[in-house]
Amino acid sequence: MLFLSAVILKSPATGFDNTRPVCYELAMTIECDGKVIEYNKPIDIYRLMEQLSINREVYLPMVNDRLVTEDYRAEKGDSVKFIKVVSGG
Amino acid sequence: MKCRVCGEPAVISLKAYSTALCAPHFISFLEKRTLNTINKYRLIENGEKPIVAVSGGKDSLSVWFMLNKLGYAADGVYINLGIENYSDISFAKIEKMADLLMKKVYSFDIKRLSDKGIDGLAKILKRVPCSACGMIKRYVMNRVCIEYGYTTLVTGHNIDDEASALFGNVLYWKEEYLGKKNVVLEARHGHLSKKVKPFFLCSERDIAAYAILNNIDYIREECPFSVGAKTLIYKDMLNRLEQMSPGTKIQFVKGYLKSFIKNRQEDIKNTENFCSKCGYPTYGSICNMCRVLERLNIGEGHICFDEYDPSVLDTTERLMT
Repeated sequence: MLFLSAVILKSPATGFDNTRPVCYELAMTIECDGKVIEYNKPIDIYRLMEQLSINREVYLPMVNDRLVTEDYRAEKGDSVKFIKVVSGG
Repeated sequence: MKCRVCGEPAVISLKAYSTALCAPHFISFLEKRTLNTINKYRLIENGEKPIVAVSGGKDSLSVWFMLNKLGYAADGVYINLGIENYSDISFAKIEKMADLLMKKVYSFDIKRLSDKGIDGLAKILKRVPCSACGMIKRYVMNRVCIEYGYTTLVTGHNIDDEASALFGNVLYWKEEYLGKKNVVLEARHGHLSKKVKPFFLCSERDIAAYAILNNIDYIREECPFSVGAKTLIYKDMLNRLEQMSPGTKIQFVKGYLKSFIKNRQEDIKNTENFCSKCGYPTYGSICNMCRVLERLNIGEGHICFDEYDPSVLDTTERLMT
């Protein structure tokens, strides 16, 4: 997801204000067991789980605080969380 | 993935059942599954008065929430283990759920026994904390039922708990424990309350999803004493198998129920004695808990409960708590 923001730039030479769009690319944040990492490309949740060696039986994927299935494609700017479901001792 | 029922975007895939469901249909699926377990195994019958053993975790709070939603009015019982930065947070979650359900919670503070939390008490008893905790919980929960007239103690045990315990017992061939695990453990009049596990055939993953989808505020931190517990190692191994071969855990537990348990229950009934002091089941003449009370030189009067009853609090008090 691209995040567009208009930033007012003041030209020191002329004193005129120029308005031009500046493009920021937001990274995707991935949180698991209290650790947060950033990822820069869109990716399917199941691929992400494979890359991070996350067992689907042990963690539930959430994107932007909503439960999703493993085929969900996370985009830049998304907040991905893996919620651990195993408890007990 | 689309919901198999309505075609809306799914929120959870259930590989063991080769399906995916949206939030409302998943909630309905899990409730139906639990209701089927309750009916099939006669967990809660007409006229019975259930109470839920609550810890503040996803399983116990979910089963408490679900039972009340399904029309089984149930209060709760909590044991405060005196674990710093854990027990008080757990109880806050329980109070929140009690307020939502407008149900009573009985709580027992372990510091009544020796002014120490479970770790300190375990040291005195020369046991590991989990062993001391299990023994005290079994006794206290049975006691609250008998003292306050609850016929049925409900716990949040799930298929992962049962499969891991079964796996451990098979691995070390602990025959004395094999056959003890069941969806329902029948009452022994005046000695032992009926114990039931409505989530026996539901997975931890499904219960966590149910809690999240119903906005149940549960404690996500693990009990600090569970680090390195064997049960967690067994769960990890079973989950690896489940990932490679979905349905493994349910086959394991259902197979056990079908082929093993019937032969064992009668043997167990015939071999149990009752404690000469408190009357609760034991293998010896005095139960472990009565031995502990003797050792700490305290009477049974110390086993008493605080009551939290949202129905008698006014709105201001509820908001403050």
